[in-house]
Amino acid sequence: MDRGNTPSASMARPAPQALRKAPMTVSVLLFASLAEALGRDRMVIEVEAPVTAGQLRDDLLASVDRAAIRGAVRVAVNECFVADSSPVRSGDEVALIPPVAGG
Amino acid sequence: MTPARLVRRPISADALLAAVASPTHGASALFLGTVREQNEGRPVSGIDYSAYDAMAERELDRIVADARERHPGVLVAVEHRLGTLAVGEASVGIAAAHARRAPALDAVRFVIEAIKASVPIWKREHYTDGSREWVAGTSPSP
Repeated sequence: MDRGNTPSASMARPAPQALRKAPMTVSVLLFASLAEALGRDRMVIEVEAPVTAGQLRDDLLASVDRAAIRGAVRVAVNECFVADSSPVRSGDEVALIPPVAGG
Repeated sequence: MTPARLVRRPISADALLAAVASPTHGASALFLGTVREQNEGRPVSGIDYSAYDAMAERELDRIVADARERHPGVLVAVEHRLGTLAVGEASVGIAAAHARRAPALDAVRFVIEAIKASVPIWKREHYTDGSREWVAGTSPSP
């Protein structure tokens, strides 16, 4: 432990990891009715960790009429579906997946 | 031909069947999904299919792998078409072959149900009155 005897040295010590806010850059891909509703198909956003997939989705869709999207919007991170509770990490490619209609 | 792919050209039933044909596989099965002339009473003039391409291909590969695990020895070929399709054109083609008919038929059914359940592909219908609508889909279950 640093026992430097000058107040400025101890005040300059970085905050413990757990308390440090961590801004992250995340790419978000939008598709179909969501891309139409938000007027774009991709965005790069800065968010502060920790954030979950579900929180990110809900924040991004706050301005969207959810009733217009009939069904739950799932989240994919780096091309795989994740649970809403999954953490999102810096550099992740997040995609909001409205109800799918392939086949 | 790779087992599962997205294409932007007409789907060929012959090519899909040829991809799974083998002297040891005496049973082949084929499914084609084609654009219908109407949906819920509304006359359709075409459908535009779009996808999260990279993830859709990954999901299609996973589905083929799952089908092969469920039915050891089965060969599967899948194509899903993207872009604007006219009535009657095929949006999806699935071929499966096996020494026995039950696994071939079951594998085709398994694959189409799995595609509909989880692959990130969307369809926008064009109607004869000029309107367009995103077709309601299925939320992939967690």
